[in-house]
Amino acid sequence: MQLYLQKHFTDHYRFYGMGMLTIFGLMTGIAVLMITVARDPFRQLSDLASFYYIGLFFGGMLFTSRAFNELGSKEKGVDFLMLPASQFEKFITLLLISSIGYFIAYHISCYLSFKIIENAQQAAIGVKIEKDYLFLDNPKEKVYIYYGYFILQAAFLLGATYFHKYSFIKTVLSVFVFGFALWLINCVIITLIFGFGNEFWKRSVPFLLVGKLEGGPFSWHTTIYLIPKWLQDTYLFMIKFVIAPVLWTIAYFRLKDQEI
Amino acid sequence: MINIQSLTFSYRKNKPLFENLQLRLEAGHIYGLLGKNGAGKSTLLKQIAGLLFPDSGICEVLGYPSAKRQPAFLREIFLVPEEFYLPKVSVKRYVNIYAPFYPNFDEAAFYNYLKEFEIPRDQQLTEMSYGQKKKVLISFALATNTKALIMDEPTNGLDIPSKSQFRKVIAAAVSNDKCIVISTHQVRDLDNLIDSIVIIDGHKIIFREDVQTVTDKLSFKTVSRIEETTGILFADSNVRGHTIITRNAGHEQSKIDMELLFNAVLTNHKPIQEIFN
Repeated sequence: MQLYLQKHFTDHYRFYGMGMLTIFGLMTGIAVLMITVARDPFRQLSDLASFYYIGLFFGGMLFTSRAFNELGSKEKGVDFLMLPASQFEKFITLLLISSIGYFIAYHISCYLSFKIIENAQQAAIGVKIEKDYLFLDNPKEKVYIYYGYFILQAAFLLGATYFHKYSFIKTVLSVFVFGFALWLINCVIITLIFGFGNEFWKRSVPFLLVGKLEGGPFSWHTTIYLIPKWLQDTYLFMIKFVIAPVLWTIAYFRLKDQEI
Repeated sequence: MINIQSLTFSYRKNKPLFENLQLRLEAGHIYGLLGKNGAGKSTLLKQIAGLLFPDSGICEVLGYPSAKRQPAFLREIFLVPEEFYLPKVSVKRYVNIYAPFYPNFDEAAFYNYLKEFEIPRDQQLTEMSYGQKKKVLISFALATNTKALIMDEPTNGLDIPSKSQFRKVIAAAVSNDKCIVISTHQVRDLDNLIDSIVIIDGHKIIFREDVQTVTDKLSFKTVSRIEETTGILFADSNVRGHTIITRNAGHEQSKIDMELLFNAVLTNHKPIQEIFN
């Protein structure tokens, strides 16, 4: 695997280097411009959180969707598939680079960027950034964002095995179509269970809860009907441990079945 | 070495490219895979390399099913595709990255092949022409010492001196444990190089004989007056007269004309096939 990793980095170091520099440059550049030109300081770290999450998700998914870019070109595809390494080695290398590799590189880049923003702001307008937001240290709330990141990463990795060109856009569309299909199925199920009255299908979170509008004519309130605890726990278990590994496994078998 | 049995494959439904294809290729030979454009030469090579999977049938190399692309299989097969990719590194760096994947790689031989092709060893691959890059890839392919070496149109993009260098290098590289398959539609490029001919046409292998058998059974001549010769199986006219193929009744040795044989097999398949049955 070390050999394949070395080969992979030789082919892609320019792209990886430029990608990280772009993210770092964009994040730092936009924030520093806002401070120096608009004289609009970031008072709390939470003001920078949106930059962080956009970079994490958008950058991560864009990066992951290029994982099997070689297969979009006949020449590179032959080189990729004919190299004497197991398909598993090739897959696991790309999985590690696009998930954990990006995650680590992104956080280093973010840390440096935030440090520069903080120093630039203090030097330019003398305002300190209050540390009111802990990105990774709050398991109760924010840890699910990272589960979401890995699930989306797995979806985009799977997408990259299906779409070798314009993989990012095609995967985004597929995720939307899939989500819409789930919503439609949920609407049908909700309507079958509760009927058309009270428009239950409008007030529902697919496969999670249904809201019933009660009261009136002047005072309305919604009563929430949640799925049972055991089903909630099953969902949580799936989000934490099942969905991403299942998508990765499908992506691996898709890679094994690639033809040129 | 390469075993293909009852292979059926199609890119589109109801339009088979191969139907029940049978082919066995042994070590110690250089096979010329000949066929018209679109006959399926590249597709057959891809099947052998495991880049395409059969719809049905068997395709094995050294007992490994090609489609599984196991590392042990990939270590023993090298494909030189018609269009290929080389990373943007120097020749030396390329060897450092790729050679460790091939346990029998011979670095000294690689640089000898480069010398034979007149490629400077310290040059960047990006600074090379298409033909030079191809020569680097061919040199690397030979130096890997894989048991199966398959080349798809390797002489495309090579200039005339390079084509003869190519023949020389390949002829020197063949050994008893190697099977080299070269596909081309430029049949003259393989003159004096291949020792077995495989012709593919109409979804099938229509001709598969070694060169010695061909010259034992067929005679290739140039005559000035075609009317005076009998038993002509195939004739082609040119400025020097008529090149013809006849049955080699007198057991005389003639030099095989690959292009003439290829055209003969395609246009007058039945009588020629009868001679070899």
